[in-house]
Amino acid sequence: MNVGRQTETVRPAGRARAGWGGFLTAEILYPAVAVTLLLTVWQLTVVVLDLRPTFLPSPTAAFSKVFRSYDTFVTHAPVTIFEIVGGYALSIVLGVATAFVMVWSRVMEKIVSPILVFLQTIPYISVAPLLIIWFGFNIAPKIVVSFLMSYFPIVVATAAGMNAVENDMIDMVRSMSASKWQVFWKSRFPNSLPYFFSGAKIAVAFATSGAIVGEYVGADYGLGYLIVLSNSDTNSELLFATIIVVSAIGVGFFWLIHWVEKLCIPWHVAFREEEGRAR
Amino acid sequence: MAETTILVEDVSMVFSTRDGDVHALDKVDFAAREGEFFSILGPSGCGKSTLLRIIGGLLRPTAGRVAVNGSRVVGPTPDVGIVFQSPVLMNWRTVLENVMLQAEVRHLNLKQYRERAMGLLEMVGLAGFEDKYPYQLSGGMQQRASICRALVHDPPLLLMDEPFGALDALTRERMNLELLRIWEASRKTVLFITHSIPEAVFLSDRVAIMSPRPGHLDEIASTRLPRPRTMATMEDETFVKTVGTIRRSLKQEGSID
Repeated sequence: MNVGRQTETVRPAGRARAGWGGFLTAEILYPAVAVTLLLTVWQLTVVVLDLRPTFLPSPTAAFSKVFRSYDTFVTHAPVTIFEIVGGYALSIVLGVATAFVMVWSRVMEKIVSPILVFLQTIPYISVAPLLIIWFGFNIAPKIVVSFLMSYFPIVVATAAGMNAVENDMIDMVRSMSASKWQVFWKSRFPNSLPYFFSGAKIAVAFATSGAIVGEYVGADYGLGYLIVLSNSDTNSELLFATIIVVSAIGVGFFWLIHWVEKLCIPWHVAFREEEGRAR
Repeated sequence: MAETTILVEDVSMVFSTRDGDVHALDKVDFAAREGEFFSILGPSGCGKSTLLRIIGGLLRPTAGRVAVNGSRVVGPTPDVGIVFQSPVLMNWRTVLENVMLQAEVRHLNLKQYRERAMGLLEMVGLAGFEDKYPYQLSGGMQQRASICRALVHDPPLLLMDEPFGALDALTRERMNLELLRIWEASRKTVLFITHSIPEAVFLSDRVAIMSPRPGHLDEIASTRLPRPRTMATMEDETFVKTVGTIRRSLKQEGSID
């Protein structure tokens, strides 16, 4: 019985339907135009209104400050990057582990959930001084703040993904005489990956601000320390330059996660090029 | 006399919900023989799927006994293949990887079963699609992949829960023929659940008619149609008569107006 088999449609898998031109337009041109426009308005505002640099430095001044203070940033940025990486890595490891425990056992979920929500509502800037007393005047308390701020979104997103498996899917795996662990490993875990990455992308911004907040309270090094320093000196140029560097680090981490995501879950709907899209 | 593969005795199922108890099954009784194609026919919501899940050991009945191949069902039935209403393919696995899930979970020899999986995919017309992802296939192709997954470990018993319910009428007819071809080649015991009278008659040796909630088996009809069955079978007088008889009994008990 082969009649009509060829009439069944097979949707194309290939990407790059719109080609390089489409990619350049969507991924490069549009954001570039938007950013250029914003910076032009900013530059013109500063020039036309003749604003003092301490009030609002122009974007050209802020960007050139990044390069003029290159040595300063080379000293301070790696410290902050290290804190972000430390806090974020802790978040991923402990966040996924917490999500697992919550999904594995209903009792654990009831115990852990309220603690998580409580942790999330703490204003961390107010406990940062305490963390310095606990962990010492070094990078440890900064890693802790970075971790605390980025932990919650990873737990919530990952647990949601582990729970979002159809009953039929669970029954299907169970019908193969699967153990509870196999059901988890073969269905709940892979199903949670897209959710995990969504949470991880949100968390990377929190991990970055967490490290900066940690440095606010007491530090000798780091970009947060530079922000405090430039504020006290009313050195707005340095302040803006530091913000640019912090943003660049945050964006860099974001794209790194996005890239890892694409590698890990190429099957996900977000990475399929479909007909009629991207035009 | 062939051996009894599925034995269902006095099975009742009550679900407790917030709005009170729901009686899904009421004293269901039947036995399917080894190698038999046995269908359960009934309107939507009569508890057919619940019964299939109980036989597959995925649900525990409130009362009654179920035995498969002589041993009482207490957990997921070993050596069974289940095809669900929807294909339930994992979208992170390719077609072949989806089929191989069965072998992985059962700790079978992957190399050996990979060949068998490829053979099955070829048999259902999916040769060349083994490295595609489910979203790249049509609904009919997805369901065929899920049939391969249910067959890859060569189970003596196949449970099918309205497997073609979501397909268009033409694809459905073709799938019915393919299913018979597979069944005739392997002679497994098949428990097939459907709400289509012609489908049940066309495929089965016997058709059990289930009344609406609480589900109860009222009548078991033998189709008495020669095999192998083809498209021409559907124009056979016996086929038309049997469909008519079953339709009348469903009407009598109020399942259809």
